[in-house]
Amino acid sequence: MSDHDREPSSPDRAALPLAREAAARRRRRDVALVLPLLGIVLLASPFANVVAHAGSLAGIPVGVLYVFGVWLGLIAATARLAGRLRADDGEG
Amino acid sequence: MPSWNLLVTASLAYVAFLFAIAFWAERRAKAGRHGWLRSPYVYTLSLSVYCTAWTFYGAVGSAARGGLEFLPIYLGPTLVFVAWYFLPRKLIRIGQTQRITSIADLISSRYGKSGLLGVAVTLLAVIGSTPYIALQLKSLTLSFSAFAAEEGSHAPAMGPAATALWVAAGLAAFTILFGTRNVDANERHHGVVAAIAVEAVVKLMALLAVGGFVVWGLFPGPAAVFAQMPPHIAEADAIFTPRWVTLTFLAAAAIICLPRMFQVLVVEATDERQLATAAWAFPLYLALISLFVLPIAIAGIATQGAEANPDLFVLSVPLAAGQHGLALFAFLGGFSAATSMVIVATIALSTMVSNHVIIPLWLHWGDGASRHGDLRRVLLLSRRLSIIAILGLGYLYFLVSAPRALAAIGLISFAGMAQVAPALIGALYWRGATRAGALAGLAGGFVIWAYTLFLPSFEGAVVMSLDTIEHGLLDIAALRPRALFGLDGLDPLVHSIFWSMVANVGLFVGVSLATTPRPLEEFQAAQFVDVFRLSAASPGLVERSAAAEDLLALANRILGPEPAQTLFAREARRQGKAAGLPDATDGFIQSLERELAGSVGAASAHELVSQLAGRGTVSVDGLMRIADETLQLIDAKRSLERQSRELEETASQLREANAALKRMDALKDAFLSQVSHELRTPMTSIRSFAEILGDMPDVSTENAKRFLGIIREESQRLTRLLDEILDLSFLESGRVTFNIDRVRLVDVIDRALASTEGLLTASDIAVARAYQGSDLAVETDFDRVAQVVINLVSNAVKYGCGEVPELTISVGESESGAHIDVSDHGPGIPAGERDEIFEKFARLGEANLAGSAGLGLPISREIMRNLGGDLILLPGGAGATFRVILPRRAALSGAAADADPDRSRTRAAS
Repeated sequence: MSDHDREPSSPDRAALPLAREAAARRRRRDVALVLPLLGIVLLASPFANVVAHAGSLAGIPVGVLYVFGVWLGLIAATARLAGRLRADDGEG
Repeated sequence: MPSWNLLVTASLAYVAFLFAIAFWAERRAKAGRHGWLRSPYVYTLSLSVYCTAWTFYGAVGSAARGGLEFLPIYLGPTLVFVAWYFLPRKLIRIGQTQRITSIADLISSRYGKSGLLGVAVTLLAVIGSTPYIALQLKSLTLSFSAFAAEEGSHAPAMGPAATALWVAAGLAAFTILFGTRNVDANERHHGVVAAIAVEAVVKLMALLAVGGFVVWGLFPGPAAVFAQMPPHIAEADAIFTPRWVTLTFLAAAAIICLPRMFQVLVVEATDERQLATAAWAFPLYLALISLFVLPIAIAGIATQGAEANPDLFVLSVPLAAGQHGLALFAFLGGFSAATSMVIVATIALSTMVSNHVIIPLWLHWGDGASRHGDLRRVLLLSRRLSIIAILGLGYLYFLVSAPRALAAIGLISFAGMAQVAPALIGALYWRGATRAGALAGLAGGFVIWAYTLFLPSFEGAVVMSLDTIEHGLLDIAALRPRALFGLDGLDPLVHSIFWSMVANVGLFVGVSLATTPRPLEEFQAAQFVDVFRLSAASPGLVERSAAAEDLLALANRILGPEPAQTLFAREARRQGKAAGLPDATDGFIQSLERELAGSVGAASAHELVSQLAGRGTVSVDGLMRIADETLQLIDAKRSLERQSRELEETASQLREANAALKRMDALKDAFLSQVSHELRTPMTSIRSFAEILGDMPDVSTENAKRFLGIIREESQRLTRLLDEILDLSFLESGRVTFNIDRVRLVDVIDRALASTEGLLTASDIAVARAYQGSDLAVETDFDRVAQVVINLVSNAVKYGCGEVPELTISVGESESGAHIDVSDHGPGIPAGERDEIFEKFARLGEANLAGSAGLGLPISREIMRNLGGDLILLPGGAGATFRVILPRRAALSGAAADADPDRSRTRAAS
């Protein structure tokens, strides 16, 4: 809140990249929290039933492709985020 | 066909290889060359003890029975690791700052270093893990028998019980050798970690090899495999079922609650940053290991038929296809999976049993009370005995357990350990969670789990009779273990988890809310929940005292002489002592207790230190201070924000003041240059005419007279200018004295018009007097006001002569006083110049106002302001209208100015 309050009134140009960086960090943390929640919605909710009867693609059931696809997607997103979060912690 | 002997030889060779790896890693670590031992990938691979024989054999079995149902077991941990930044990271940070040795230690430490909770969690863990260890033994004997069955009559006469016994003995030997080498303060086992990392690679490779063979060797590709999908898998109506969610939840809880997972995830973690890699690498490992599970299951059903044991498809499919080398590799993979789980689980359990059961008992009744003797020997012995006892229990369970599918046994174990999850989550995120709440929740969940899932799993063999399982305790239908309170029709696992979690969470939350935490609980709660915000050590909460010698003796007993010496020497240096023992300060006692906790657990360490130093009193002040450190931090942050806001405001005020000063400085400069310019013009002409008169003797008398006249005129102008400047300066600094009297406005105007009569006549301007008969009078300085009106009339004559050569003078009365208006019919003053005309030397156009240097209006305004009135230019109308505002009684700021010169100066500037 206070950061939002301060931003417009701060004419100091040097503070701007820092503020942007802080906002980016905050966003990364938010994404880190959203990712597992998204995983729960995609993998452990009735959402998965939407694809359970979707037939098959190239001979492989779509249900199988869906679960593994979401799984690998989560892994990739976590890997991408983890490096940056680690760097954030390392700095500060 | 690999012979029985070859199989045994291969196993022994593999075990020897693992011993060698463990030995080598242990020696490297001892020499301080950790290198890749601390690599995040080794850490990730060590986490794979999650994938036991249950994964290796049981997942395929589960897939053969229920299709995708095997997946939640891996999706749950994936979700936990995707949330690594919020859950596992916090666990590791707490584990490192509090020197946590096991899950039981964590729970006990968080809830006020409660010994009772440590015992409760240890018991739960032992009861919950025993089936799991039995499961590994079972899968090992099964895999041996799979080969034996293939071999037919050549099989040696070694029953599964004997095989399991040998395996258990071998595992005990390995675990004792590498798991209890020393009472390492950090409870880290480099040899074991290295060995299980190698085993992790072997089991993944083995499963991938079998999978690759099935999909591309046995079948032409994945499409062909899935084409063989049996109807009960292909036609499963939904992926998402209550069971699916329950399994996901159980697996997610298991990854942090299972003793062995806690051991590798938290206790063996050397570096928090390893987790950032494991966060994605471990889920990737799980995804890879699950990749071929379904194809292998489908292929198994297709080639072996429905009667074959699906739990052995990983072995039987390659064997049936004549791929003996591959089958042997798969066997070693399964062997790896089973042994690594048993080794780590046994280490974790033995630590818990020895720290939370044996040591407290020993302290209470045994030699421990006598305060001497090497505790480390006791610790090692108790751990070794625990290892043997735990493996023995597992073996016993293996003997008595009903022949059930692997997955079912594993799930019973998961469900048991999941009872710790609410207390664990509460420990990390809820400061209000209390010891009583945790105990009540654990007990409630445990009882229901045992009643609805664990005991019925023996199918009448242990404690609970078949009759009770069918009809409920004492034949009460509401107490049927698989339909508690009449909740019928649910999957038994879902049913048990539902009721046990309802009881567990309900009791945990309810009792926590109803009880007040003890001071130590409150302190530990703050240390756990706010671990990222608090400084590492908050010293001096508990006020205790002990002799430093006694503390050193205690440290010797537990840590060993050398580490104890180092620890005390470091503290002495920190206290600034060149030699000798450090003072036993509260802070040092606390940090020593934490150090000891790394070996014997928080509760035992607390007990041991308390024997020497007393329970101590938790100072309320200290508790308030530390428990509220978070609040203080928040306050500090807020006050910082407030200060920086205030600073910003001050800075902007300063900036404004600075800008005003600069503006005034520029005005002063302009004024000075104007003054010099104005003075220069008459001076120049005076000097040049004086020079002419002096240098030229032949100047005619007439010319000389004219020149002298000019010189006199210019001198007069100079004097007038200087008078005006002086006048203005006096006015601005408020050093003018006024002659206050009762003045009729009409008189003032009459005087002004009389003074300007010559000017008016010369310019042929008529004056309209719009004040006939007015009798308005105010108290003011007659001469000064007359001066102002004269100035205004002259301005109007000089400047305001438009087409109508007339000016109007009127008077009026207002609430605060009176005013005189002087209007002309000239072109008026452009809007942009309305303010400028009151500035010094401002000239409207090129016209010189009233023959002066342009100081008339500023002086007039200054006079009026000094008299408490004002001079303004009225907006609108044709021409210009100046209004002289007079207060009823002169405020006489001029007289007051002696006392307060700043006031008028400020006013002049603004």
